[in-house]
Amino acid sequence: MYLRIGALEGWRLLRTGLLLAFIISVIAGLVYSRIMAYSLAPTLSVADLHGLPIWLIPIAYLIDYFSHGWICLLFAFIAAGLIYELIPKHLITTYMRRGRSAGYLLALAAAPFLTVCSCTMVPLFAGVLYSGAGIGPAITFLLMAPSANILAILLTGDMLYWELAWVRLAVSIIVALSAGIVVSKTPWGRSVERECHNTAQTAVAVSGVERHLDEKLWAALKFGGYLAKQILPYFIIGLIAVSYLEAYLPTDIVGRYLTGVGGVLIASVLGGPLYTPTLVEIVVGKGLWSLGMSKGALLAWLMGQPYDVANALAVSKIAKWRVVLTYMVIAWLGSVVFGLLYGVLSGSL
Amino acid sequence: MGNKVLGVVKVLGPGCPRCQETKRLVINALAELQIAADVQEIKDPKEIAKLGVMFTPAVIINNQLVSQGRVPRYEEVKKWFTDRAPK
Repeated sequence: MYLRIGALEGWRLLRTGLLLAFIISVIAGLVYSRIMAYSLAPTLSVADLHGLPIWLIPIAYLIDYFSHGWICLLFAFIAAGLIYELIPKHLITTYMRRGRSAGYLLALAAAPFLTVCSCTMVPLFAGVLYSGAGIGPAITFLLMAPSANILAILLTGDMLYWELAWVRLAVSIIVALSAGIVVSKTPWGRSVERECHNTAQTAVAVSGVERHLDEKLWAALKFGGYLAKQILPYFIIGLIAVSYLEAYLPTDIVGRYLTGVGGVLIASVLGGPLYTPTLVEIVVGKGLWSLGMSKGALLAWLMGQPYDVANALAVSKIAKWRVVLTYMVIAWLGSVVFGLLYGVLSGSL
Repeated sequence: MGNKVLGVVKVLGPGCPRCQETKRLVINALAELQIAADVQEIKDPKEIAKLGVMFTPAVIINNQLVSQGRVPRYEEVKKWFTDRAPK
């Protein structure tokens, strides 16, 4: 009996050690590769793509990206999985019940760490709405999560540049917060809130089963893998599309339409309704940027992510259409205003 | 054999692959343990929210939230049922 328990404990310890070693080596690999500017292959430029035969363009582009992007992607998915798994979810649920301002704070603080696909986003939105925090924090959460989660920020920084990643994060906070506050003041926002408050909450007891660290780590890696499986196919399709875009789209067209005030407007309108799955907006943004889109338009394009049509459709089943339209208009205005502002400040409009 | 009855098992999730996997684990565990239960799949986000759940997939057994925001392990699922089923 003792021996069996000993063997089990030993196996646990070994598994925990191996998993931790793997995670730490990925982090170390990321830091090392960024410090040493290491890459498996020389980076391609737009000019290199022009000379290639048509079938080789996407292959060369993919090899080029993954030869230096793989470590960041790997790290991003592991981090997303770890944080989602280890975050104390029952605490979030409890604090959300504390009321409005706690709700806003929590929505802003938690959204970046909860990497969500649309599938987890909608229950989260509904959950916040019904938890007692109300419509404002729910909208804030909804707008924050797609554009400011750890996966999107890491990839924005790595594929584009880090200043943009921080600007994107800051602008997301401002836009999400103001949209939440405005919607919660509108009559239709209030009526949605009242409806939710009237429905009695079913009290549910949580009987926690303490899990071992190795189980948690393994579950986290599995969740990271699941996210990768959901997101990477679209990401790769996006890269292939962008490789042709970069190879064949003349730079003067992008330069003509996606710069200046008009460029910001066009980018902000394209960014929203054009449904781009998570992370693909970064890939396409990179393509357009290297073809001459201004930085202002680039930010406006990225800020379009939270108000895409698919998200809006899902939310409209829970909240009213007026609520959806209100937050979409505010998010769109935010993307235009901050796109222009960033364009002016960075000297690239 | 097969006459152990557990109340209501609710699997909450909007129909994503992880929720499907959780439902499969629940059904398999009940079958293996020969426990009868009313397994309900709750897909409507409003209904999920009304049950006080924010993170899916989640499992509620007789009004007790046993797991949320993750796919449970099969052994864990079996333990929930054996702990709760009448002996």
